[in-house]
Amino acid sequence: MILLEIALAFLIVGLLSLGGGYAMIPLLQREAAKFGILGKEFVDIVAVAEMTPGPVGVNLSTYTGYKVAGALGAIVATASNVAPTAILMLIAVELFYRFRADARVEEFFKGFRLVVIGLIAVAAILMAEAIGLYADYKGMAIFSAALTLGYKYKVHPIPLILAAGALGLLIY
Amino acid sequence: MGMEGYRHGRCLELFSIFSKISTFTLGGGLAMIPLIEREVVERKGWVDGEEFLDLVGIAQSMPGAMAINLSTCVGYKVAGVRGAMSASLGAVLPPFLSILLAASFLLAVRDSPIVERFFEGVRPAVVALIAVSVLRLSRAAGIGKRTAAIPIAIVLVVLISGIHPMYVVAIGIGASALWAIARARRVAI
Repeated sequence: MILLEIALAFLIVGLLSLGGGYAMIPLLQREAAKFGILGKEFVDIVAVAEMTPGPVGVNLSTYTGYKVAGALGAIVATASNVAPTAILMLIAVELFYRFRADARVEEFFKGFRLVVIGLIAVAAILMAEAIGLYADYKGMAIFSAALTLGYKYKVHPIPLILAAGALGLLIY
Repeated sequence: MGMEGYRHGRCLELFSIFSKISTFTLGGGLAMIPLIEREVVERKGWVDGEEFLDLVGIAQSMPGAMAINLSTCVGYKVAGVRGAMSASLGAVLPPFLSILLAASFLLAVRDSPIVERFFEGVRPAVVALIAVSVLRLSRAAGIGKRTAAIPIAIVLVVLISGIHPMYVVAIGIGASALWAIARARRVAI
């Protein structure tokens, strides 16, 4: 039964996460919460998912499935996240190959990207609240430094996370 | 060698190429594109350069993780449905195993004070990484005063109402599709 719930949750996440990269996070945040992965733990597994190979969204699904129902749960979560999209992909390659340069596809993403930006921003705000970031001046310092290094200097997430962790060991 | 044996060999090759690439690319989707291109376009010559770009375009416009989408469609182009399965399985397996390892490790050490202090420092950086992606996407989308209204409205509505993001995605898909069709028509006239 729990496996069925996992399958359904990650099916939704997989099929609705349009827009690449972190687009899966807002949906995952909600679905993982259903299985008791909330607040700080969610933030922690995003960090782990960043540091292990593979797409962050798929990694988060695997972790959630594993925590809720062991190895079998991990298999169900990963498969239900990936398989339906893979089938859609095959159909897309067959059907839409001719229309690849269609201006409408471009226009669609111009609009939809704005939606994705809003949703990812919500995910970030909820995560900041969950870890009590606003009340923690040390945390705010790490946040601002990481934001600057990541955005302006394009530092890769892995060294950024490791450095922040090392700093955490020193100052907390 | 018959067609069957030929395809079988290609499936194995696809599996090994994509599992290798996905083992060694940290940081997900976009980092994998040049590696896949080198193997599939330059070394193997399975797909030509322009076709590869089209496949990247399709992979990006479908839901799900881009890297896995790209593996699926390259595999399909090279060896049909079985090729698609071999390539995507190859791309999924290494991260799957590494997350299982990391999860069992993390769940075992979570209560250690040292680990807790480490994550205490990591958490603000993770929020910053997500914020970085918001900034990057905004810049890529060329957000101006008018277009900024949409993400801002979404932030307010979702935070205040607590609506599940999947409804916002569904409405967003519908609205963007209508907008795209309307724009195309106007251009055509």
